[in-house]
Amino acid sequence: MRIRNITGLLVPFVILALLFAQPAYAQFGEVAGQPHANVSIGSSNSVSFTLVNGGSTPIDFQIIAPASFQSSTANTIPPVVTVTPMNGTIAPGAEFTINVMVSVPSGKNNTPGTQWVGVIQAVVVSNSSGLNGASGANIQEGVAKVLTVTAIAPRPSLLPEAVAAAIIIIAAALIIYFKRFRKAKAASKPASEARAAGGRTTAVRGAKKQAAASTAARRGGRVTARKAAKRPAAARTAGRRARRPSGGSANRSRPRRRVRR
Amino acid sequence: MSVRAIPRKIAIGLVSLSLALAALALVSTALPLDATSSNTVVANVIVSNICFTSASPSSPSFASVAPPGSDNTNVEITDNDVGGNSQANVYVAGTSGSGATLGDWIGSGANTIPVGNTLWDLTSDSAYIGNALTNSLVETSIVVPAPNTLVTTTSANIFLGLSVPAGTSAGAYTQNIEIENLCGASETNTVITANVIVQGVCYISLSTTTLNFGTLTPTATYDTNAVVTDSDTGGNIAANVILQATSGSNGDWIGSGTNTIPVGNTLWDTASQSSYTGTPLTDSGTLTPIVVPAPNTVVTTTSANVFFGLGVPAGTAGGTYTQNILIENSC
Repeated sequence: MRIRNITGLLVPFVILALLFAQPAYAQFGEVAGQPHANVSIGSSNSVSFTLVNGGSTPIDFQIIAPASFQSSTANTIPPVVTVTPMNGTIAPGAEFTINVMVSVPSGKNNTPGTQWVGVIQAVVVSNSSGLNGASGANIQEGVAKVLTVTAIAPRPSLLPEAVAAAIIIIAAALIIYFKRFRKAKAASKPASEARAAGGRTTAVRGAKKQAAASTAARRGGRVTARKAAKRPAAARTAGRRARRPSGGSANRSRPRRRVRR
Repeated sequence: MSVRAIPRKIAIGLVSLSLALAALALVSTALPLDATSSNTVVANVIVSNICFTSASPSSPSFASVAPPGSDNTNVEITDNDVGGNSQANVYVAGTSGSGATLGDWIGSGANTIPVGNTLWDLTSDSAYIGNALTNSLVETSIVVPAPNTLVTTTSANIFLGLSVPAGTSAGAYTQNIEIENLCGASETNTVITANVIVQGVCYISLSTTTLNFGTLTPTATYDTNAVVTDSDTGGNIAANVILQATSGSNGDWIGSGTNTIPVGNTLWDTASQSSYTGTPLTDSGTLTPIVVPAPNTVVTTTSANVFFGLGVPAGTAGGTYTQNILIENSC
């Protein structure tokens, strides 16, 4: 009787346990959206995608990077893809992000707009084969992302602009330097040479003006004659100025003061 | 002083006296009987009991969820009473939507998540547990203490969790949640708008892990009708099926020693065939026209079949051969 009673009590519990018990299951998936990488030629860029475990048991997976790329453009150098990590375990109800670094090499036919398409696969790792040594096909499950890579123009280098700017700056510096050098050279010429050269020039100019004055007087213009008469005096003054060792506004004012005295 | 002047003065005096008496009478009637002090005015006021409600944040965000999935009950909402004076009991309800969807999470189009998929709890939980939200106010056991003149703001926390059912369409969803503070006959409420992004996702689950073509003699074929069912349970996006043979270095069937059967001798098709016909399998991922439809909240599991056949080339050495076939969903 006791045994019967215990059994009678256990049966409902067993039935309830069977009703409420959920079998452990794995549910491998991926977040929707195909990755698209725009990559500068000669450079790299990264994209990512996400794997999901919607089940109640952990999932071990392994990544298969694209073995080859398809392109509509002939004779291109295909992108180089680095996937991180290449394997892992996704906890139940969790997500797992896979990063993909894509590099597009420089090449004759790798022009902006060139596209490549490759498949990145995430395969569920199973430790046991269902075949158990028999013939047949092992069926593996996984998810895949179709990676599209588009080559874009390389980033413009600042080097040419920098070189041009440097050339302009150096040229400007040289011009300024040579101008100053010339001035300094001119200033350092012997004073006697400058005096002689200046005196000669002014005397010639004064003589010319004197001749012009006499010509004007001969023509009969009184006013013109007067103006012309002033010119020899100006010529003499100019001669004196020229004989001074150096010119300048301060020096030019001295003779006036002397006149006032 | 004339005879006329005296009565005028008397009249003025009488009028003044009467006015003074009237004023005195008025004052005496205005004062309460017990107001014995002639210079004291006693003012009375009744301060009523009240509790106020303000919740922060006003737009709490749940982490994006891939269905079927959940966010733990740890999204914190603080219910504040600023300046009240009474302890308040907290009530909650979902108020978004209307009619059949009253209280539900509302997405684009007719997409919804049931109101009861939001759970509330007194404490932060590291799991999706708690009490289901309803579309009518439910008293929680959460209490906002009474503020006082020293502590003029008091608060209590309520924690929310969310479960996104299988097949829920991808997109943004919002839910209005009313939080009411009730103290005595006084009640005040505020409405917060919770939001969540449901991710698009596709899953894969295969009906079998092996295909056994039995024993075949050279030149014999196996009709393209060995089926593998590819299912998506709980996702929300249609998936394209990709096939690839992965055994060996080039996908061939591997026998003992160096014996092989070429990979392309395995054919696949979208329909069951009564002959050995179809598309040769390859060792690179091939996008097939097979599509696993998107599940939804009504039909939470969808599937598509892939059929395989095999031909054994003439002269193939006897023995056991195996091939690995990879079936992938991509969305």
